[in-house]
Amino acid sequence: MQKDNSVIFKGGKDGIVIILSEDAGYKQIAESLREKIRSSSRFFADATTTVTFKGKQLSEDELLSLIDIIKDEANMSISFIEDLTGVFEINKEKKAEDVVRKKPKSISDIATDGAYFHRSGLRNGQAISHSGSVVILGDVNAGAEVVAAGNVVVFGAIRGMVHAGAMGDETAFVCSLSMWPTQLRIASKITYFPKELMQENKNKIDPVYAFVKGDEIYVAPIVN
Amino acid sequence: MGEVIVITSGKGGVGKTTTSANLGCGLAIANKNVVLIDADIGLRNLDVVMGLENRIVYDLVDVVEGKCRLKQALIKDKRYPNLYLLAAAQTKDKTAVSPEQMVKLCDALREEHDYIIIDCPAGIEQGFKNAIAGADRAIVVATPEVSSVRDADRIVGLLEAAEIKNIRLVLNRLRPDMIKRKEMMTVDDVVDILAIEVLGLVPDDEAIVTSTNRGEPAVADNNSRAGLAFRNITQRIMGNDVPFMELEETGGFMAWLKKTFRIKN
Repeated sequence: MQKDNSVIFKGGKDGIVIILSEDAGYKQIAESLREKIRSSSRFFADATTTVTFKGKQLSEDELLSLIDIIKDEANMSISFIEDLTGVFEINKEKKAEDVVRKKPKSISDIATDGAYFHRSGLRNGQAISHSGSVVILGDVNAGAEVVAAGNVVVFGAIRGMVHAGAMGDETAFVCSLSMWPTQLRIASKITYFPKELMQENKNKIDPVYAFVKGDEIYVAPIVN
Repeated sequence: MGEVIVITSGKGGVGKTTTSANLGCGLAIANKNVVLIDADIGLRNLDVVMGLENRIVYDLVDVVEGKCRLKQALIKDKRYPNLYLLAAAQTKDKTAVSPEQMVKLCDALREEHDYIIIDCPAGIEQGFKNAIAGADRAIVVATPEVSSVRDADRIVGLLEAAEIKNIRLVLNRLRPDMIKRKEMMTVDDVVDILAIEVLGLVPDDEAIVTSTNRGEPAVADNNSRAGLAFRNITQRIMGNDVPFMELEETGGFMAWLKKTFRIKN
């Protein structure tokens, strides 16, 4: 029997990459996907992950039903969906975020749309990722990571890595009482801060927010 | 009931073993009954620093494996009769002991001793998990270098996750002259990042190198500035308020120190 290669799973750096064969039809892909998840459901069980589609171009509706299959079969909550097959490339207004939000399957899916409040700071090696906005009551130290689909608000200093609008939302912002991140990301934009400036200002309380304008991340003071 | 204190840092070479040896001796001088445990299985050093290398018969692994009684493995110090060392095994590795066994061991030692000081290995793996398993409180040792402070931050996060509430900082190898020239992180800088209370400030002191090599902890040396710092830390561990020493001979630094991070004397 020929090996079924219409759907291939790969563990990517930030989640699962699903490669869809160019030669297979949608029906075959859907069936193969269901089969593969079912046979390895223990691996997928109760995970929260990012799913990236690659390979064959499918229509939006077809992709949505694939996502439903994953949710149904694997009992998995999908925090991000990234689509590299090109469907959402064409229709840029449609963000992957909307795809998830369009058809909430259960109350728990809707609940994750709310902001997450973290009641302490984050130390080196600690990480938060969330499908909504994140509010942190403390410092985000160097070596810590915050990844949020929405905005990131830090009631403290940012010294680590913060990624707002991680699903592609360029209107997302980051704000904090002191902002000297190792690296700052909003949507697909990445920036870092000049070291010399950091030396002089690292202990100052200086509330600022960062946002995307055009092709770059800007940082501005918060004033009335 | 004794108290179990783990001395840890994440990064290697910042002075965990030196701190352990000095605090052990310091507490013994203050007439406390103390056990030092070297948890660095496979890379033991505390016995050397204590000058007790040639007296090891049984070690930590022998105790947890039941090859000897706990009392047999406690090496009595040559200077202080109320100070004991439980050496690490040198021919085994960290997996020879489990966190549960460490908890049991600490609980047994707690019965008869005032302080149990655990010298934690560098890193955050099995050896670290073993060392903190039975601890009531933790002393994080850091030097004023970015890499050391980063690792200390990681360690504090892990200690908090392990629900060790009382975590204090010993900032080791401070160079007031370098701080003045803005070539070294200040105490303030470090405290700002780590957000934990300072237990002690230890100046860089060449005497530490010689005392470590001789196996005679500096805490007993009245001429050593680092020794004075460790005597002060010993007092603070026992709950006595001792003002922070002047790191420099010249005045003014203390005032600056107090002002910049509002030390409660």
